[in-house]
Amino acid sequence: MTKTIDMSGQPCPMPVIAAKKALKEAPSGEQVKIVVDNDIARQNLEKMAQGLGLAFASKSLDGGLAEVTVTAGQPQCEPMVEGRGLVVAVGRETLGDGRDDKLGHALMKAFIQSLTELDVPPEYVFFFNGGAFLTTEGSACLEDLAKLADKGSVITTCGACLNFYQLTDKLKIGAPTNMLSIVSTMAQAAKVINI
Amino acid sequence: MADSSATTTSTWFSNCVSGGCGAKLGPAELSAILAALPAARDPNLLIGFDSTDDAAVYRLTDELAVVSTTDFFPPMVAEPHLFGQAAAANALSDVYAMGGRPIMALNLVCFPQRTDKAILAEILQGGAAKVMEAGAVLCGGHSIYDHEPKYGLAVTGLVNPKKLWTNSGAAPGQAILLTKPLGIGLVLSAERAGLASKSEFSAASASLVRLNRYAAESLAAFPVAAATDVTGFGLAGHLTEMAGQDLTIVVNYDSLPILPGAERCAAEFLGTAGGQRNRTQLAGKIDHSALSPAQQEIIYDPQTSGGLVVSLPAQSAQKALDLIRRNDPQAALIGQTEKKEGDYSVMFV
Repeated sequence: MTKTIDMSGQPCPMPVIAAKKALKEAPSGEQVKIVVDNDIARQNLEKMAQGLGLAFASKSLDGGLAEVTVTAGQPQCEPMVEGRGLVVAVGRETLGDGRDDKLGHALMKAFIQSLTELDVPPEYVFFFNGGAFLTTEGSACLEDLAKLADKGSVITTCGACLNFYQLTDKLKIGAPTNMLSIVSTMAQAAKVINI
Repeated sequence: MADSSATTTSTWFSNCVSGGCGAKLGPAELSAILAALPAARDPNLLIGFDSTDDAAVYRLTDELAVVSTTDFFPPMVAEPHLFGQAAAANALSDVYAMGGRPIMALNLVCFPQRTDKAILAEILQGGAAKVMEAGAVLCGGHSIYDHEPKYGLAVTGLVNPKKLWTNSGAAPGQAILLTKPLGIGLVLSAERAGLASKSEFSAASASLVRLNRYAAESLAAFPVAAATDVTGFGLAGHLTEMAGQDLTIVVNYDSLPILPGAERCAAEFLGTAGGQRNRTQLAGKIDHSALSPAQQEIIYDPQTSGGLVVSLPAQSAQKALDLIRRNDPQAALIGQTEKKEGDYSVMFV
């Protein structure tokens, strides 16, 4: 099955936008042919296919037209565009609410420990407010957090919170950060877990 | 939803192939044609088209020279008043980039016979507002029918020839300063496709209509060695011109001011034709190997009404930046000049 889109006469980035849409709708393996009337548009389409990790081929047609054929489906190599992964934001010392904080502490420890067992570790783990007690001296989670850091997670703690609880010089893992940096990372995250 | 004015607005705009400075002819194509024109032999012509500067400069006396420049293009935004302001800010910028002060301007107008003339009125009002903000007078112009609307200005300014800024005076060891954020081409192209958010578009619009007057006035007190404005050839292209034969400009990508959304648009392949033309044109002169594909798009992105980029002695750079930031908080020191030892004119690290 092949789908052909005629984008001649359309300025960039219209051919790329149309191609992306068609590729998204096409079943894996289907070829999408995009016809354009200038070489720059051909280059931009090739750049897109390459960036998405999709197989592509180009040829010149009569009348100054070019045809770029892109195969829809799973990327054949890692996409070149980086996406942010999972961000975990921890704003408390215990997990969940109950009659006894003892359970909450144990659950939090289990939660952090479980994060280390994920196939793909979180990209960022933020600690704020009561969460600051988890990254500082006396926390039962330090060992697991070190494991997470080893796996590539970036661990940070709200600097103002450390300050407020007078924990600044007791920070044992990761670096202090500010709210703007926390918010911008969350805004770019593919997924945020907020507890 | 039959708002007739909105319909007209979108129609007048949608026929345009490529708006703003993205519509510029390629420098390679152009230079061959210009080379065949008779060379100017007037000793008072300080800057003509044998250089890559932003405007022509003609000396009247030892203390006074005329700066003459023109710029016009098809719309890159659907809102006529905004387009008028952007086109005027962009045309006036060439005078600021030479260290000059605009004194008068003429309208250059192409407009379709059948399109609502109320749109043209808005474009011209937008332009007139910017000429007034620049402290210059609008004093005439020329209008013709054309199938595609275009607008811009011919601007005359004054400069002391001893204080003229060209784009070729940079020396090794200087700091490079940029006064406006990059990525306007990408955000506007995304906006055209309906893929920019409201806040992204409004940040881009604000930058688009921002006069380079304030930054230029702040810089007047400093020993500027070279200056230009970032327009159609993108940051990489204009820095290549500034680097000339003898310099390599090293830019720290992380210090570049970038419009919100621009990198996202780049990662979604919303690059313009102009950006890709720049990339092809500059191949071999730019080391962008340290950048992600999306970051590379930013440095080649054609800017409409972009900021000033200047080279100045490192010891005055921070002071100049502090002063400029009072009016243009996004200004930043983005890199430094070095003696050219390899093949690259510009390296991004």
